[in-house]
Amino acid sequence: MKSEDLLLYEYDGGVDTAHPDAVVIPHDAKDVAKLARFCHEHRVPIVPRGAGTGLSGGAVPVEGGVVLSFARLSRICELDAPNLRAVVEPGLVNLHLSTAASPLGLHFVPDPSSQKACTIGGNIAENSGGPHTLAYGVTTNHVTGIEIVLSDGTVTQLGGKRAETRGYDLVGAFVGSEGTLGIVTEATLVLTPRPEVVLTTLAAFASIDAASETVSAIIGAGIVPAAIEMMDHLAIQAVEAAVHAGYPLDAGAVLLVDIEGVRDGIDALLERISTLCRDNGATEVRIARSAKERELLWAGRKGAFGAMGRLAPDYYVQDGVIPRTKLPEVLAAIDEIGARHDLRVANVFHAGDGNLHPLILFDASVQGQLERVKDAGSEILRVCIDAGGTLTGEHGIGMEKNCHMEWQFTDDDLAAMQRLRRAFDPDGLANPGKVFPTPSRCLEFKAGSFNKGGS
Amino acid sequence: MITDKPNPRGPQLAARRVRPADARELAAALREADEAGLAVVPHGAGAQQYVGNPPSRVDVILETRALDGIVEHTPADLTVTVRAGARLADLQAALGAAGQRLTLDPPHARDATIGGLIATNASGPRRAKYGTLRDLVIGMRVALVDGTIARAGGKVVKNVAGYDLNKLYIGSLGTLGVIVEATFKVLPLPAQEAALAARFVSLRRASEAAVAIAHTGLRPAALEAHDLDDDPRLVVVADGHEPAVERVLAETSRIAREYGARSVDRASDVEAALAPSRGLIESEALILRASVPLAAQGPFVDEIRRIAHDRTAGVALAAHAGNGIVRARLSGEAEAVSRAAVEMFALAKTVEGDAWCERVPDALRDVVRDAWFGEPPGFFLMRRIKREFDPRDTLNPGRFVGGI
Repeated sequence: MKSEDLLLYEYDGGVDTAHPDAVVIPHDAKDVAKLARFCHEHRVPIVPRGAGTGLSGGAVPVEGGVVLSFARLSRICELDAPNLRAVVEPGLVNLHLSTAASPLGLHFVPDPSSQKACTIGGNIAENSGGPHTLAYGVTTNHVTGIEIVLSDGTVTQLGGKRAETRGYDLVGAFVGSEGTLGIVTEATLVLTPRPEVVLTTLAAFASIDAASETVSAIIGAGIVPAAIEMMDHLAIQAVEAAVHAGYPLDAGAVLLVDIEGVRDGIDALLERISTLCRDNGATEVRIARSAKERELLWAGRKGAFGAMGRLAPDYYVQDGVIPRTKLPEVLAAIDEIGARHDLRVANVFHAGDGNLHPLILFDASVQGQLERVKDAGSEILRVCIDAGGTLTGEHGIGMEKNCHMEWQFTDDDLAAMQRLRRAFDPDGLANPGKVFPTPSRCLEFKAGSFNKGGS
Repeated sequence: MITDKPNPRGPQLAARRVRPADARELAAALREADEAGLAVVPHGAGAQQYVGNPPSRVDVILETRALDGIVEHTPADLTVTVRAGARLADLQAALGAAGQRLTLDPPHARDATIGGLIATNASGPRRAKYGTLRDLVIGMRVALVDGTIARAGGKVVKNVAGYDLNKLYIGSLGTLGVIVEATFKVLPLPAQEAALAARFVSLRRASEAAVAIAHTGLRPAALEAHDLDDDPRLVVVADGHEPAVERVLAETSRIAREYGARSVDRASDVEAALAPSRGLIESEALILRASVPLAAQGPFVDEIRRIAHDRTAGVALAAHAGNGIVRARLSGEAEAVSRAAVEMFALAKTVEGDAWCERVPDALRDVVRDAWFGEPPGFFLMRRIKREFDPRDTLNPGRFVGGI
């Protein structure tokens, strides 16, 4: 590989970059183990990378070293329908699994918006979510086994196709560790039978507050839909320009609500949801019954990040989660932060579980804008934490938010996590500089924000 | 304090009981014991102290019962935070008053505490639809041997900040720390819940019917197959709105008949229909717990029977049949029971499953020396984790897998 080719591996879907010393594209798990042994011997960091769609710099080699690309490890090894499991390689694209399982009436539930590109290995590293995690959980709830290579080259199989295994739940502890405990070379995933019916409701509201209250009303009525997504006025403009999903352009906010299950009684349930929407001021309620209509409504939501290009050359997305009852006040605070920094913020998010995705629009070619954007992003996260929430619901901490971990966790909390880290990766060679605050970068970071007079 | 006198009734009687008033006191007591080189056994209601091997040393029994009560319940957020010494039954009563529930229905539900249930990764029939504690716990606070209290996760339903140590603590049998608080996802009570019981000629057929149902989009709340006294049955629970419940029961009834059910009857009482299989673990006997891939479950229960027969051991079986979890209650001569259990473990391994003794009666401890049948795959990592969290083997020494 020529040195300019390495440029492709400097970044992921986020805004941080770093230059790798080398890129290796192994053919199989044995290659991965060999590479890990080599890196261990020479004390070189090893950074796994799937499709590079991550949003927190997880695949960016912040401390240099070898980027390990899974481009060639993308097979479905086994579609085991009788056991409701699939065994796959980590480079497999998320959507390819559900596509392959579809003729069997099965699917892989986690469906991140980037599912057409993102890989299973990345999903496991980040513990990715998606719109349908409200009812079915995130990636960790759908992984029963992993084969991993530790940073010293040791290969071990954890879990399997069964539901339970003796000893500590190492699969559960590993999922979401962002490449800092080791490298997944194979995964055993849960396949779920497709529901008999899925119906999508689009409801338009004059304001975000009215839409938020509707979410609370639906859940308060004892209904837990498969997904509840919200988009604000600015996001609707972008999505309509790009995807033509048919969202009303004059709406202050729209909700997308998926309900699913058996056919019987679902119309009555739908009617109750429509009534709740109207009671809370919906100006329009539309129901998609055919797969085609549903796909169009969802294309708007899933294409929302990409559609931001219609509004600005760049966007920076945050991923904080708040208790859903705090939605109106936190969204108001985000609005205020955007205005204060003279930045436009579009909101597209998983309203059902309070997982926000404020998209801060900017132009990276304008000197100093990215710094302002990052400051606004940090302030938004602070608001999420103060509301009793978390820094990230599905994108991961990576090198983007590791300096903020101390907002959410005490030194004692982080020390407990470090115990797990040491057990798996005592030499700190597995994706170093991620998740935990690092003295060098985070001191610099703190100094930077003090200079700007931040709170 | 601690005496060196040999105690014929086991080491627990010689131990000092400590009941801290709150999490801080508990953490301090834990650190004190650790510094003094004393072994600590965390203790909730004592409902499941039979799990695992007897601890090799017991100096302090650290009781969590004073850590009682709900810390925070915001119904509209569908979350609840509760102290570890609270009883599940009390939590359910409080949630029920707000029209909600924790979708966890384990054995010992009346007595067991939240901390004890998490430490043993207890689960029940409704795991078929709602999963187990690893799907329900979103946050935890755990006292560690150095006296710190570390938080894992948080209070929101979706959270990937930092490692998910919740998963590590769930089922760790008090060998890494003492759980002092937990936050759960909760759900609205279903509009309706109803059950049917189908009688089969064999448990294998009942089990296969359950697997067929698990392959549909019907999502019943529970799929329990059991054969306690030569009367194999499948119990199906459906929940939700009435038309959906009726439809699920009608469909599952049809599938049960396809698999040869001799009769299918509506159960008048859901809990009563689930009681027999839950009662299995609550009785003083050797209980083997196996987890096998779904498709292996049918033949597996047949083979279990054959092994018991060959070893002249009595066997009663109950399965969370939508999940491939099979429990066998063995009876008979100690030697026969022990050998049968070992063979059943070996059988589980041959079908990519796993197994262990979930309960060993005191009378069999001399024969069944290790409830865990040795070290599981990946044990070297578990050993390292134990050393990181509890370097002096203070917590429940010798109780868990591989002597942890």
